[in-house]
Amino acid sequence: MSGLAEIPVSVEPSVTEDLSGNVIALLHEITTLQEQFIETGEIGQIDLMTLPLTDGEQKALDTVLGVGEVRCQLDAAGRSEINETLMPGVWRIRYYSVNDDLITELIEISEVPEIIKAGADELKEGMQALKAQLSELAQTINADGE
Amino acid sequence: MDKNQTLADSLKSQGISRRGFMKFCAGLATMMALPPGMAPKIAEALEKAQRPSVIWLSFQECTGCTESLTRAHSPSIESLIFDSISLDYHHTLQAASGDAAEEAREHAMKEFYGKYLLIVDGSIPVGNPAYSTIAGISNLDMLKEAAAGAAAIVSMGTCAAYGGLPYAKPNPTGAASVSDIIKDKPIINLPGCPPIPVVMTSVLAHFLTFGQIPDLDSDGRPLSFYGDSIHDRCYRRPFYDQGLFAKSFDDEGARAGWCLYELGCKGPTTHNACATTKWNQGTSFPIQSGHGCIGCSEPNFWDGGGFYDALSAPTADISSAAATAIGVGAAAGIAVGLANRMKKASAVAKHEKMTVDDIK
Repeated sequence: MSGLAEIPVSVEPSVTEDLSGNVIALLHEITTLQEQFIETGEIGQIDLMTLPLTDGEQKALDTVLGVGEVRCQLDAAGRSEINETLMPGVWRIRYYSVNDDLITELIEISEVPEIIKAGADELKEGMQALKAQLSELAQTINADGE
Repeated sequence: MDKNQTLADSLKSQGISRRGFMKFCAGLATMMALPPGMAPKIAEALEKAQRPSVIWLSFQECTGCTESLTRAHSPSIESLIFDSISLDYHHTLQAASGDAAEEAREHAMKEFYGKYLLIVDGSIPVGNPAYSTIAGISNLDMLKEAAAGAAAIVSMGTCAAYGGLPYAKPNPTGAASVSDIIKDKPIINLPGCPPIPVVMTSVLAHFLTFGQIPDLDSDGRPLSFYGDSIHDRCYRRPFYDQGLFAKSFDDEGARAGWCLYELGCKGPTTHNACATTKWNQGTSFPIQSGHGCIGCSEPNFWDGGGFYDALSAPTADISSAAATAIGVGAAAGIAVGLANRMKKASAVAKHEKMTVDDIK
């Protein structure tokens, strides 16, 4: 190696550099919503699309919240990323359109994001679909046996 | 399509799942500037909403508004929502023509009297109604008849909202806007030449969700989309604040992305969502592609001076912005305003271009 520049070094991003008042206010809002959820069970959401964050502020937010244990990919009318942060129960949610444009970016404070849960009607429809398949399979097996 | 079908049924038949629908509602909440917690309530209301009957009348217009709305490159949920309404009359899009088309309009007006949404694009020639007629009916008569049974009216595009191009001096047809003629119905103005497609979808969703029209500004435009000026949300705004202006479309400043104020940008006096919503699936908007805003969503923009002339004197908005930028007090701001008005008169008389230095 001929110089220091050629040694690959991964530098930890500086949080304080871009830690503006906007990011601090946002983090305080998250802690308020965490308290609210712990005490009352009320789900909290923050819409990041309507907040004018600079790229630096966005990076600072990403660094503080980090990446947690759970990552989900939802495929419904375009893809969606639903990832837990380092703070359990604090989720980063990004919805994309079928054209892959970002349409919504949220922070949600809940046990499991609401959109992941299966709906009551869908549960019934799924059960009926499986029963119908079983019935068809049974007929096929009977026909083969005869 | 069954007219009693709900919006949710319609979307489901088009393969949109509950989660896909929830995503759309979250996006709508963002667009309508509502708290994200409102998304489930929007979903609940839209699921139950019956497909509204919509009558679309096109008068003195170029069909650009319809083009804008129907030009999605691939199907989006927004366009599916638009497909889900019961569009009972639109003389460019409908398959029927002649008597059959007019019968469809009359039938919808009778069946859904008091409930249908009336969308109008284009201005109405009241000076001489013969300039624009449909099936031998003057635009004025058709508008009055259709407005009588409408729950609300949407003036789609600058022509319907404020007269637009046909209204430009000398206004040979005596063009008028919808609100010049109809005084007893709620009217939502969605100006723009053309308007942003998602604005239309959101207004429709708002109407279906809350059963009423959204909050409007003094020019009848929804505050959620037209509440800020282009200048307020422009990514080039920091250059304006630093006094860094492109002097021509090909100089160093233009290449560095500096503010286009001196090249005629009307962003400071124009209210619209182009800077945030953007165009062509969020790709860009005029200022991002290097051209100043022409102010197409403001009343009388065609007569507001040349597109490449700097705003020659401050309006109330720009004088306050300039006053803030140079850090002067209110009294000094008034003095600046007076001086600017004198300069404007002088500049207009001599056909001179003013620059931002003139308002400092």
